[in-house]
Amino acid sequence: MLAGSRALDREVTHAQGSDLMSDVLAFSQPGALLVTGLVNPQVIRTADVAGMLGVVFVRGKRPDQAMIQMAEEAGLPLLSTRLGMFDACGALYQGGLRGMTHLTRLRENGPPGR
Amino acid sequence: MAPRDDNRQDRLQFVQAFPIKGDDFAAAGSVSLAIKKLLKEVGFPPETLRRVAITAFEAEMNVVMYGGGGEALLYMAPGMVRLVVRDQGPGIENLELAMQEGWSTATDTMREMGFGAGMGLPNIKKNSDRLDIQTGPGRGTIVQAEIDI
Repeated sequence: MLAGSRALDREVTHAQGSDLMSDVLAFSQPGALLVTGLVNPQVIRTADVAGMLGVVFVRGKRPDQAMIQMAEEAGLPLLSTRLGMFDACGALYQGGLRGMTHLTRLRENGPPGR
Repeated sequence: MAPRDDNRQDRLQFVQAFPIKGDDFAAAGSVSLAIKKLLKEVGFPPETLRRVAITAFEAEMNVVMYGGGGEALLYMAPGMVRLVVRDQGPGIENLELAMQEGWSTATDTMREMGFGAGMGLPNIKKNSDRLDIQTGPGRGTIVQAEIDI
């Protein structure tokens, strides 16, 4: 937990793993967590622009102070994990989070079982 | 164009001009966030804010990466936002190609920063209701996007 701890009470149900910021904008839906190995100011801005709930940096990457400040101002929680991208996504999936494909289907068809 | 659209164009009000500094990656995206913040304070709904923010962000990134700097102009009319993002850069040589997903002229440096996926103009098209791009080799570029609430 590196920033935005005040916003940690929000519930997260979906996540998007990507190192390509324009792909994030193309495929993102609001209300998801961004999982990325990219560390630069645009990651914070992209996540903010796309309406994401937070950013998880993988492979032990950590944002610098300027990025942390930016995230605090945007109310965006930042987290870091030593896990690689695949393992981090796997862990989140096992924890119940789903991806953008699932979220798109959900928004188009409504919740399953209805 | 439907009469309702014409009426809205007449009622278009200029809100603010935002300068965009070319090749300044540290600041890139800050104009879009300023626009999003402004519209949020005005009371725009979240989904509209998202579409405007993505449109502005991709257009801003293009000005930073390829346009050598420029500006974003924000206009508002009842039920609509117009964004005009322009630069005096080299212009887009082949607009049809540039509109294709995945097609990109990004440098390696840009790709290392996570950009250059070739989704910029397609993302603008997907998130706006009316899009007009004026450009050509040596002519600079003007991107005019309108987003309905």
